Amino acid sequence: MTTKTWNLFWGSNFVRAPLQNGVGRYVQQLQRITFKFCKTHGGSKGMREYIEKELIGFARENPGVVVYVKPRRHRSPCLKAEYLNGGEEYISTHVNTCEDIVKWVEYLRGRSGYPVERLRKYHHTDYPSIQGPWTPWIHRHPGINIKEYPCEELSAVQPTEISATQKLLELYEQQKQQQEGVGSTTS
Amino acid sequence: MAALRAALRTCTRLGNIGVGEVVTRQTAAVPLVSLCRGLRTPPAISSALSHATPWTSQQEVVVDDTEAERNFSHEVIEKVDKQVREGLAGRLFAVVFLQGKQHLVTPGDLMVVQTFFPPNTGDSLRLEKVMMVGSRDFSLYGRPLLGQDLVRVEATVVEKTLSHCRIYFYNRRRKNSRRTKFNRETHTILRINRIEITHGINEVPEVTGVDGRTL
Repeated sequence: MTTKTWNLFWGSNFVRAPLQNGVGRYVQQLQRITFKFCKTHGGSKGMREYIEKELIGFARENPGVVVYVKPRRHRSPCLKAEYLNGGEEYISTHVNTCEDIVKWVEYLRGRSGYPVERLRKYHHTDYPSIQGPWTPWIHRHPGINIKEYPCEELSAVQPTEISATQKLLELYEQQKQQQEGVGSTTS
Repeated sequence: MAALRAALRTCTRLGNIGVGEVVTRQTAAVPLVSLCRGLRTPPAISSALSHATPWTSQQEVVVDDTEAERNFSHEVIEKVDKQVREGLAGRLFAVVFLQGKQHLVTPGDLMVVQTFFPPNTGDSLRLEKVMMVGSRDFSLYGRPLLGQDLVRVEATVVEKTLSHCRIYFYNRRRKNSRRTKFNRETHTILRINRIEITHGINEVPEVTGVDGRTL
């Protein structure tokens, strides 16, 4: 499966944050998390361990999050998170260990509630350019606006290096001056 | 030197006029083709004319303008300082170096850090590696970084998430070997809260680099 196939089935989006989050202060986006598990089956072992050891600490650290624990007979365990913008996320934690579940809970806590999509740009701005976009006429002399085209002077090749003819001429002049100098000292 | 340059410029201009005369004379004598050729060739002629400036002397009179340059730069710095002091600089932008990448940011932006990044959601950070700060009328460049105390760029962690599942599929044809790997990298979304210049750009504080440290 390639990126093309991915794009056929799942969408792509730009970076965004719900309700201008973080402009004044950060608002916790996770509102409710439900732990579903079975009291007897082995697939829920890690989840039961998590509930025994970690859940109280999580609830204490996150007073803004409602925590539901929902036992159900002979069903595999899962996590269900609900967010402020109405988004939901479901994660199956079948035969996951306690440490794995800690990581998944932390993942759900940090998310904003928008679905996971490919990002088209890793940056979002409302002010794309402050000094103005660059154009070929930026920092050029305004006199070129009133020139008549085609213009010989502007379309001429700008020599960046000294040409061979020029070099020879200079050498010749140098020699001549040296000879003159020698002549003057001898006389 | 300036006089010499002016002389050179006048020379080229004269050369162009000369070329124009040549072209008109050709039109009088010969039809259109040679006119075109005449139009195309002038650069060579003009350059030849400009190169044929008489050899004056090997020595060059250098005007000592260090004082003037210093005055000029102080004037410019004073203008920038005044804008910053009076709050007329408008919206600032900055180039921030973070986790091996350079980000161009302005207040209110969202940016994604695509590597392992320890801060948690809700943390507010100060991004200290600022490479450049600019506004509508000026740009300040660091070499490579601007002073830590000069610019203050603050950000808040808005979201910590994983990217979409990337699929790396390798297949060697007719060799009975293929590998599929799945990867979701960590994404941290930052909101840039503010960018500000804290003191005059030419002021050097007595002690630098101790901001935020306990001594």
